[in-house]
Amino acid sequence: MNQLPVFFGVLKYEFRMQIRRPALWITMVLLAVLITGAGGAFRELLTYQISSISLVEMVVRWTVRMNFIFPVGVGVLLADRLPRDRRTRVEELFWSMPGALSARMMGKFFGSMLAALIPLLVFYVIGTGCILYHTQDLMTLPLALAAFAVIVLPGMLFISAFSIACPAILWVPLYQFLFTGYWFWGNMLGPRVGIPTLSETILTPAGGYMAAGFFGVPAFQIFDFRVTALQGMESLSLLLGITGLVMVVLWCFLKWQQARQ
Amino acid sequence: MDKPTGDDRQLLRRIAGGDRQAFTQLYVRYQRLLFNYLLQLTPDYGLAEELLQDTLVAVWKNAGSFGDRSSVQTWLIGVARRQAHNTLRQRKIPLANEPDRAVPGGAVHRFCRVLRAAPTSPIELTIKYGGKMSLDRLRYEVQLMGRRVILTPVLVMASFALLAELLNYLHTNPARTLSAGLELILPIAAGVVVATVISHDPAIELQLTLPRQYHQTGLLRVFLIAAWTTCIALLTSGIIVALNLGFMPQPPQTLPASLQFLMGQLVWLAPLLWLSGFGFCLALLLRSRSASAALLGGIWVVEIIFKDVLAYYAWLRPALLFPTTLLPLVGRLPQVYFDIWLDTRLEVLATGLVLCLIGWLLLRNPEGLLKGASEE
Repeated sequence: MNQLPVFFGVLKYEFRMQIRRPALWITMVLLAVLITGAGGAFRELLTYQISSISLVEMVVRWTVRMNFIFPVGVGVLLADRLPRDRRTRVEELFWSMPGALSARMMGKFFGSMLAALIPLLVFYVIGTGCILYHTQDLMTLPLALAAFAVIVLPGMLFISAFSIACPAILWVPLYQFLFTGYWFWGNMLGPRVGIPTLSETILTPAGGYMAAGFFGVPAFQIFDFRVTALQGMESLSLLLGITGLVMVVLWCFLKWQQARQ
Repeated sequence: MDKPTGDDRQLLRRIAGGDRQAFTQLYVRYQRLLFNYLLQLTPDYGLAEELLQDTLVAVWKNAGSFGDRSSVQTWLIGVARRQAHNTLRQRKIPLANEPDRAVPGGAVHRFCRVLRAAPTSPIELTIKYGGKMSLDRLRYEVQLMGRRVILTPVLVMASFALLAELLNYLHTNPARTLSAGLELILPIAAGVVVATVISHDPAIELQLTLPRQYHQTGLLRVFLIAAWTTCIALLTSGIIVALNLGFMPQPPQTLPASLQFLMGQLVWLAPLLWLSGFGFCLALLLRSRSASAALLGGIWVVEIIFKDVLAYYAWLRPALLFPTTLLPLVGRLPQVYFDIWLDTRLEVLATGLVLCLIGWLLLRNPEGLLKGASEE
């Protein structure tokens, strides 16, 4: 059986279900209010001294801002997608259908993640529009697109995979607050505190290596200007590779669970 | 309940014909009697509620089978007893204190007479059952929330103890890490758990039909979570002090040791109350577990990133949650630092209490609770 229609069908269904969720919009709007200091960040974008900061730096700084607290919202909102099927008692119904588990799982992953990214994208476009208006430079658009693709997306894929997979074995609220703690510990905790952390390694999903390696703008705990594009590529590949690995492990686990029933 | 039997029979006939209004009338008339009867069969409050629901479903489905051989009351008690027997047998739970079954009709009538004289309001029930009833309620609420609510704070602090051990092995002082566990992690865990428990009750429709007030139930649940987290935090704090691993501003040495210890508990108590109260309010305002947890997480990260801004502006300090771990003594006199620290802890504690009060007021809106039940 061709699994592509199953994949796209599930993707469309999950996307619609997530995008119509009031919780998604309320959360993202309130997080946007928090991270912009009730709109102060937009004023900042419109008042930058153009002579003192390059366009690249302006765009990358704005892009990096997306990775402060939005990933927490995305991760927490995706965490209940898999347990929801069990709670609403449709899981067994899905299992009895002809579509492959892998196609349904990937459809769920991409559908719910894309929907969760829509409010973030709207917010990002508004900020990019402010930069474009202020600088009057059309290069803003491809630059913003590239920055979003390499700084925000890999990290989002990474955390989305964990947020879909981990609640298969963890209680959702437990995962949610552990994930919040992880986001701080693995991305923002400095080495001076003395606690071993991943925030300086290429496994940091906040995108510091990509920002520094591809655009030369240090971000989060990656202050080193000598970070190369190769290191940025390594970080990006590692994040994508782990995303794939997590989904494979989830597939094996669900298969095993299905066989036990 | 004292309506003529003929009237009840008419109601059952209308129910058999699918009349919902008649069903509501019968329910209003008999729910208390049936619930009290079921409580005689099982001491488990939650299970009795579940059995009442099953009984009502069975009455709705089988009203047509009522054969006029007994009174409606006797028939209803019979249905409730069958439901209880089936469910308890399936779950292998022994039946407790079942009323005399030898002469069903007569015994049931005698039983009903006793029940009519029994206290029915929450206040009367509390007076009648005293401490036993309260303990039953507490046990029931803990069972309902589940082991996960109990285990979560235990696991959090156990993980931090292991991390501290690892740091000690790596020759790093674990004091600040343990403080982070108490001040940063335990309160956010409690906040998320409060938001989860308050925003979702699988039996909310039934809860709202019961004689007891739901806002009392909600408040009791928040209290239980906060109290359990407090026990774990106190225990951990005691161990930390005993191991001389405390990480907090030094209180004046002139104060008694016990008062110094109590002041030290403000490290975790203030953010615990604040985040629990905030989670309580968010859950009731947003009616969504995920949105509440996401916003609590967002606030938590913002508190860490913008700690200096929060500390700088005096009007933001009542929301400065984690100064002990994040803003340690730097370039200030210990006494001055302790005074500032104590002021902010008390301010956070006060705003936490206000948040809990707002949550309690929000809980008095049962329609909102019902609306939220279907939106996740």
